[in-house]
Amino acid sequence: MPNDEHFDDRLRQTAKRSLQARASDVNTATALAEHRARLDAARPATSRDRRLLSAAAAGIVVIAGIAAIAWPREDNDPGTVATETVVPAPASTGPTRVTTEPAATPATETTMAAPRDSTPTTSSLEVVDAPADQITLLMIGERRVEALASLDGFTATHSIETTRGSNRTPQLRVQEITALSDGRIWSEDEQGSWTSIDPASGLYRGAYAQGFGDLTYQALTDRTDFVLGGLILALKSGHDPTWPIDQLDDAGVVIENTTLDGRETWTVFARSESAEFDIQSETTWVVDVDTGLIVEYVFSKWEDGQDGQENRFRSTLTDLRPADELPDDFPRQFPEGADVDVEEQFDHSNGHRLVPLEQAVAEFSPGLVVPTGVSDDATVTLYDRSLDNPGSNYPAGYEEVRIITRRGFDFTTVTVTKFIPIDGATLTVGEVQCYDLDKDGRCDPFGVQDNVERGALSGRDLWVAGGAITISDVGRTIRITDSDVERARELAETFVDI
Amino acid sequence: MIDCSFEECFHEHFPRMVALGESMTGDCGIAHDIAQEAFIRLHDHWDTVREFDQPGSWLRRVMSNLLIDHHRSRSAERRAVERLATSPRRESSEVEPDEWSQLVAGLPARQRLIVTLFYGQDLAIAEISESLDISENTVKSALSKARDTLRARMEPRHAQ
Repeated sequence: MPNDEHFDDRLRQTAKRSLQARASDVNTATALAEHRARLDAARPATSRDRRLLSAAAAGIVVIAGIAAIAWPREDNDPGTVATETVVPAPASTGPTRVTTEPAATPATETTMAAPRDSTPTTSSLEVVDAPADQITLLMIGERRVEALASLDGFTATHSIETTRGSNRTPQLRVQEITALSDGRIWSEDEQGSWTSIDPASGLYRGAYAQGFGDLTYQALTDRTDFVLGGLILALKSGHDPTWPIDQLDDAGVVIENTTLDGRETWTVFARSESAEFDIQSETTWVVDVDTGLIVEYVFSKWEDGQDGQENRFRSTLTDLRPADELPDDFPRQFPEGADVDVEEQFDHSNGHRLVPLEQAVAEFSPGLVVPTGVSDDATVTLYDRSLDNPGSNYPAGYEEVRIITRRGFDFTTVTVTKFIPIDGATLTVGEVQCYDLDKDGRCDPFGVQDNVERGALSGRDLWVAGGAITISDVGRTIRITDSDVERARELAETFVDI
Repeated sequence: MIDCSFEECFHEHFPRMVALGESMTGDCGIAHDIAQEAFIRLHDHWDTVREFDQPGSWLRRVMSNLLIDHHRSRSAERRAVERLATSPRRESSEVEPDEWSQLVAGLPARQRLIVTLFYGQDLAIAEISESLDISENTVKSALSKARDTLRARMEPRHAQ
């Protein structure tokens, strides 16, 4: 047996050889250009705004909608899937491949350009004859919200294909995935990897195929964030099938009526180009008309700094069908004697638990304010976080209560956060404190300003941004996210102190 | 206080952060993405961090937190989806596993990170403790467990 010192030397040499080789492959000039592009994309938002946008994005993924879903019928009657917004199509010579030649207008922060080459960004997607120029993201958004809200669950074959540059063989991962609207998710692949997620118990279990053909096992507890559904769907699916695509800018996209895997779909296509850094990208979302799910997401990027070849990520759901139950052995036990990694729960950033509303009221120190008529089915999560991440602008710790009401895969989320002042960046206006990170002597805006007129929050400043409502109150901030911002706005008028 | 520009700091530290990320994730695209996130945060805090003697330690801590967060939730795709409307992104692309990656594959994430920082980046136990915000005893314990596992894997190879 080698002695420890010799063994350590061997490990050190192996590790350094590997890391140095990897580091030497990094093109820092290209990376720095990308860094600047990311900074530019984030401006003029402040750091806090960016954080809020990130939080909003996290919230956005839980937003969806309402109404009847019609799975494809045997007779394939287009009347069951078309909405009144879809106009009859002109005659067509038959389905053709998508060749992505959009006559696009500039997006907000990017410019649209002709594709670098004619590489199709979709595989089995076919264009159907349709006056797609009359379809808007708003129309798609309304339909998907309606469909998702009545979707109890689905199962599908999920494929992720990644291609990087000209010298890489595309890599393909395939798994079967089932997701129910209560947040439970199951997935399994041919390599033996599997994952079970049960938000009711906060338990996440997984087996992952590693090198040497081994499986490693992981169990996470108190993962109550899984109730957010969309996040975990994104995690398991490679893309979030419930992502609110209508948040995109109509002016920057091209929409086509298509079919994918025999299902009627809308394809939304966007292209961006950074002339300064010679990075071009194309993004495609394929929305299933019946379910409202995004069944394919494709992102392609070309960078001159990376040999100008296409890097592509494609995530596709096929063989989509309704589901209302999971395998009998869900959430599945680990094998006897398995070495399960259960050490991933770090206390400093994830102190949260599902609690009854009464307990949240008792424990939330600023006092809780909630909308009238919180459903008995609502999920209440109490957070007591202490973020010790030096990259974060958040104060060292904060308390938060999140109440989620479900409608299928659609959600309304009410989040009440204790306000914690930041030294040198906090103003007091009347009774309410606010952040002034840009130090212009005014409260940093969250969006378009308004006032609450009724209820416990009457008279407070209210901000509308995207699908979110933010209200500044004494000692606390209330945020409401909903697929219908008007519904969120109305909810703001119904709060009561409890 | 360091005496270099942000760009110089970027050129010096970015490759190391990517290498650390690739060792942890086995995915070049994800490693780049997380490293970019770390440098976005560095940019936001540059006025403060530039006062430090060792900005690399601050970066390692941010990077470590991000990597652990990534592993915990396996949420690279989620982050990408959240960002895609506003930011260029690098796509998932698995890298060919090298000797070290194969060796540490299968170790729990925290052990993998600790042995990589210890052996690959020459961090002292106290520095790892500081970087990961865990006690030195926890670092030692994880290092010991990881070393035992790695020894069991390596000995058959070197016994020949």
